[in-house]
Amino acid sequence: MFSNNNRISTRQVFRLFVFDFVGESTLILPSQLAAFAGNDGLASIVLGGIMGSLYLWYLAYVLKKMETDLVTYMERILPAWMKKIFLVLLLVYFTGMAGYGAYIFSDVIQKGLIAGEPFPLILILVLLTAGYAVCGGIESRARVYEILFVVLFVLLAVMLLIAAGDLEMEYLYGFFQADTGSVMKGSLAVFFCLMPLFLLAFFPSYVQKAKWGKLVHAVHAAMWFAIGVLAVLYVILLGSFGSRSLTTMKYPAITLMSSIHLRGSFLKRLDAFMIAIWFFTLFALVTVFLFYAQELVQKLRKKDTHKKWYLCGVMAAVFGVAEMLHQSSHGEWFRDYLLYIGIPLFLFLPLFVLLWGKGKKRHEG
Amino acid sequence: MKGKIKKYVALVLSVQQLLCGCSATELEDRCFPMMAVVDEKDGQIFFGYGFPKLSQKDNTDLEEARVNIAPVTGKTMESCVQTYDSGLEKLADCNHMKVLVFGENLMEDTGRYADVLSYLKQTGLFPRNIYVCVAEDPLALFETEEDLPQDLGSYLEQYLQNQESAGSGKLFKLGRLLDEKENHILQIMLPYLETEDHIIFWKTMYRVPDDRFLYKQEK
Repeated sequence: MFSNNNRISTRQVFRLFVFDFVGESTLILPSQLAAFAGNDGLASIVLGGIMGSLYLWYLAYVLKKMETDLVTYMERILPAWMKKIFLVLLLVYFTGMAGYGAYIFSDVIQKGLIAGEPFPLILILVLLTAGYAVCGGIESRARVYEILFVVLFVLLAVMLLIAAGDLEMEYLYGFFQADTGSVMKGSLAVFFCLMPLFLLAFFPSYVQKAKWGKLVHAVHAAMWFAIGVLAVLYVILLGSFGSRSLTTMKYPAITLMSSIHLRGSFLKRLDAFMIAIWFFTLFALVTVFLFYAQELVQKLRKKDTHKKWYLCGVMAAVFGVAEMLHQSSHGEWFRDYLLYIGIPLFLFLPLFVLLWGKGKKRHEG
Repeated sequence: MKGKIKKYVALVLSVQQLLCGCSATELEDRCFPMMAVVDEKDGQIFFGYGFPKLSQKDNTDLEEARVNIAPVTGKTMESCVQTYDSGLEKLADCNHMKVLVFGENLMEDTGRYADVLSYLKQTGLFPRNIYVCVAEDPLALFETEEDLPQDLGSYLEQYLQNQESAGSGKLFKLGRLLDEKENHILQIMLPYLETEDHIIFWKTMYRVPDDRFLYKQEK
C-alpha cells in the first residue's frame, strides 16, 4: 500500500529533478555549446553547473528565511494587487516553459518516429497524456519516475559505453581554443537549462519540514548528476560527430542513438528504445510545469472545486505556446521573453519578496 | 449524464488514436533495400538498390514484389532516386540498409561526389550507420549474389565486419562521411572491393580524393 498524503521522499525529489534537468539540456544544449565554444563547451558545462550551485544556495537561503514556500509567503506578505501581478507573471512563465517542453517533445516524436503526421495532433495527444498524469498528483508521478530512473539510466549508460568505443579521437583534440566570452555564453545557456531549479521555491509544501536540508541536497545532487550526464554525452557527441558537424544538428543525442552500429541480434533495436529516455524526461518537464501552472490558477481563483477546468485552461494556453513555437521556426520571441522577463523573474523575485517581507516586519515592529 | 460524457470523450479519443496510423504506409506495401550502389557512367549518375531474397523476409518473391528492376541513370542523384522509386511497386524503406557502395568513377569526379554527399546529408535518405565502401565496378558485385548464402547487402555487412576484426582496415560509416563534409579533419579511407571468379575481396583501402589526393593506396 502507498500513502496518499501529498508528500514525496527526498529520493523521489532527486529522481524527479534529474528527469526535469536531463531532457531539455541533453537535447538542445550540445549543438548550441558546439556553436559557442566548440570543444571548450565542456568548460561551459562545468561553469554552468557552478552557476546553478550558486543559484541553489541563494534560493535555499531565501526560502529558509521565509520558512515556507514562495507562494504562501507572497500571500502572507504582499498586498493583494502585487501578489496577483506576480502570480500572473509566474503563471505565464510556467505556461511558457510547459509550452516549450511540449513543443520539443512533439517535434522529437514527429521527426523521429512519425514523420508526416500533423504536429497539432501529436501535441494534443501529448498534452492529454500530460494532463492525465497531472490529475494523478505529484505522488503518482514521483513513483513512476522512481521506478523508471534505474531502467532508463542504466540503458543510457550501456548505449553511451557502446558509442564511446567508436569515438574518433582526432575530433577531441584542440581544447583551450575558444575565447572567454564564448565559453561564458555557453555557460549561461547551460544555466538557463537548469531553470527547473526555481521549482525548489514551490517544494516545501510537498516534503516534510524536518527534511528541508535533505531536500536541498537532493536537488543539488540531481543537478550535478544531470551536469555529469551532459558532460559525458557532450564528449561522446564531439568524438562521434566533430564540433563543426555538431552545430548543424538539431537533436544530436537522438542522431547519436541512430548512428550507433549495434552488433548481434539481442541489442540490435536498443537504439530505437533509447529514444524513450527523452520521451520520459521531456514528459516529466511538461507535467511538472503544467502541475504548478494549474496550482497557480487555483491560487488566483481561490477555489478548489474547478481544479480540472483550470487544468484544461492551462493546457489550452500551453497548446497555443507550443503551436506558436512550431509556426515560428526559430522562436526568437520566446528567447526574448525568457531573456527579459522569465529569467529576471526567477532570479530576483524570491529576493524581492523576502526583502519586502523584512521591510514590512520592520515597519510593523 | 457525467458518465455518458466521459464515455463519449474516451470513445472520440480512442478513434482519434486509431486514425493516427491512417496515412502511414503498411509493412506489406514497403520493400527493404539492403544496399545501394552509386556510380558515374557516361557523365551521368548511375544508381540502384540491392534487395534481399524476399522469401527470407516476408514470404514473397522478387518477381511478385517487382523490386528486381535495373539500376537507372540520371543527371543528378535526386532524379535517379525519383526514377528508381517510380519504377518500384512498393515504397523503398531504407531503414534496414546495410551497405552503400560508391563506384570508383564517381569518387574520382570530386564535384559530383560532393553533390551526392550533399543530397544524402540534406535528405537523410539512408541511415547514418551503414558502411560505405568503394568498388571499381559495383555492378560486378551483384554477379556474385547467386553464389551467396544470403542477399548481397547482408553478406557485405558481415564480410566487412569480419575483415575489420581480422585487421584488414577500419570501416567507415555514412554518418561520419557526411560529418566530414563539415569537419575536414580526417583523411577518409574506404574499403576497396574487388571481384574475382564471382568472389568478393577487400584487399586495399581507397583514399577518398579531394583536390590534392587522387590515387588508390596499397595497404
